[in-house]
Amino acid sequence: MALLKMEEWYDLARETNWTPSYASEEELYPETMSEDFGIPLNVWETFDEPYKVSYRDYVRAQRDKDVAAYSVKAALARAEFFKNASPHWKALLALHFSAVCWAEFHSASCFGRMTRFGRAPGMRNMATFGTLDEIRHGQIQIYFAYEFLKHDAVFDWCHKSSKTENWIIISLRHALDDIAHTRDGTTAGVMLNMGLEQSFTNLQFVALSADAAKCGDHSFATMLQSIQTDEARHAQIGEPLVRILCENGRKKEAQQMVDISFWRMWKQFSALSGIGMDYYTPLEHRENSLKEFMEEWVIGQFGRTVEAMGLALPWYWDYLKHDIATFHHAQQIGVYVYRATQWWRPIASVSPAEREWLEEKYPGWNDTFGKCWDVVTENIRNGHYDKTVPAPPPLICNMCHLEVSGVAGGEWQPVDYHVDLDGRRYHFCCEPCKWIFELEPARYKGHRSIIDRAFDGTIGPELDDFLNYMGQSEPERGVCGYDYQWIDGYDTPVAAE
Amino acid sequence: MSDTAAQARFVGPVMRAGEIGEAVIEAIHEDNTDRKIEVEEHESYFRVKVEGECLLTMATVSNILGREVLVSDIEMNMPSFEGFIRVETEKMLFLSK
Repeated sequence: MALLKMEEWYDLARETNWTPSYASEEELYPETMSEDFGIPLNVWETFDEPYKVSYRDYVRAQRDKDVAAYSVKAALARAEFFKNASPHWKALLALHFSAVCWAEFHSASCFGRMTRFGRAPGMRNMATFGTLDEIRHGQIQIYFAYEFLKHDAVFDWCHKSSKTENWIIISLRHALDDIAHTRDGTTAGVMLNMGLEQSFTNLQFVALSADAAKCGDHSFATMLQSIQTDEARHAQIGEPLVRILCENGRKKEAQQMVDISFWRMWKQFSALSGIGMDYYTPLEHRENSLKEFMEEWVIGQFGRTVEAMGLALPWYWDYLKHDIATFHHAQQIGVYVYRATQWWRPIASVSPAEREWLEEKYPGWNDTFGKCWDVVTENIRNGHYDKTVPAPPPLICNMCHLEVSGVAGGEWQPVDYHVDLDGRRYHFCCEPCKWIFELEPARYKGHRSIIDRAFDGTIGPELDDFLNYMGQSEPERGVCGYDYQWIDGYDTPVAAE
Repeated sequence: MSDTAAQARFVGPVMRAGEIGEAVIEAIHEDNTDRKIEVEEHESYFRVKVEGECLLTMATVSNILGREVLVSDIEMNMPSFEGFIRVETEKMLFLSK
């Protein structure tokens, strides 16, 4: 007997809304969990899934995806890729798995909220698959990372990191809490899908897979792409949500959701993907720079999607174009010089050949960020290792919780973006971070940055106090991944400034 | 509207390099004969870009590979795409607006 085509039964099968008689609509969909923006339920019910899939097909596809990814891993395990990988790539793997495993797993709860409190049956259907996807992403990445644990205890942080108060983890957790875990189902649907999954996951899971493949890490490359095939499907929850909001007088709200979530995620991926692509990927295996991948996937693909939906590009778009060439270079300096505060072994990646590549991809790099590295390099050449670690802690942004930075060298134009509120001053790294804070100060003002915690006495005054607070025992404190041998490429001293 | 939005938008799948991916390129050329098509190659993926709208039918891909190919087979090999997707049993459509 021939099976019906999916479209012949799908609409009928997924119509699971009914008129409640034992509970009110408000009780079924409390506002804190399911904001309706004043749009009636029958309008939300017009949500039509762009990417329809039946449960039968979903299970089949997911089984085959897992078979493919785990088979590649099993086949390559004997090659002992990790043992022979460079400190560059080991740093990248440690950073990726420690930051991403738990973040993906936690996303399942956000999709679970959409599954329960989505007002449209179609949205709930897509979110159900999204929930299962995110559980898979947490599991597969923990499993792949577990393989490395026998070689390197750093990978213990794939599980551990999310429960620590490490400054990088605070930054990521604060951003994800903001867009996914403390928003109602409708808002989270727009913010997570548009601000993260249609934009930046492409960067980390497709673009980075090109670097991984060039590097010979086919296991990692296959896993990344396998994950993104799920993201590409469930992220399509965002399109009908934005269209319904725009068509029903809520364009301003939709725009603001995209503008906030996109910026919050940009700062995270600038550090994660930016450092990964431009510094931790071995020079000979780099396919593109972060800026080039950003131009392809985000400025290009995502920007065109936003406009085709009827929204405007975020107001800070021109500033973003500047930031994609600068912010991560400054963060890379901070991550290296404050290396003890990282749980992995940071890489400088500024040998003469690597600097040449950076100058080619980011004209002017040598005269700006390179000036800082001149000093670090010269201090190491002279054996002054202690001088490569700044004594004072950095200023941390009260929104993205990354270091407040600027363009070093000749273009140094520091700006202190700040807000004075309730007797204290909040500092920000840029205008968009300040803008987000000012939209809803009550939402953000209670959160204390790692530096705030030092000043209010939560953390003791010594470096050891900081590191212990961040959950880092002595072996878990980052040291130079190359034990400073990267300066061997410098034949003649350069003048320190 | 920005400069990018004013230009004709190219849409279509981003495919993993491999047998299905190669077949999808060929199928898209067959399914969209009257449209401008570009293929952008990267180390582990490639973009198929069709001006305005991109149609991909399972019948064409199946014919090229000599075996039945389902939408789920395409999904397994499609980590991303540009445009607004519409999925049915026998085809995928990528729209520009």
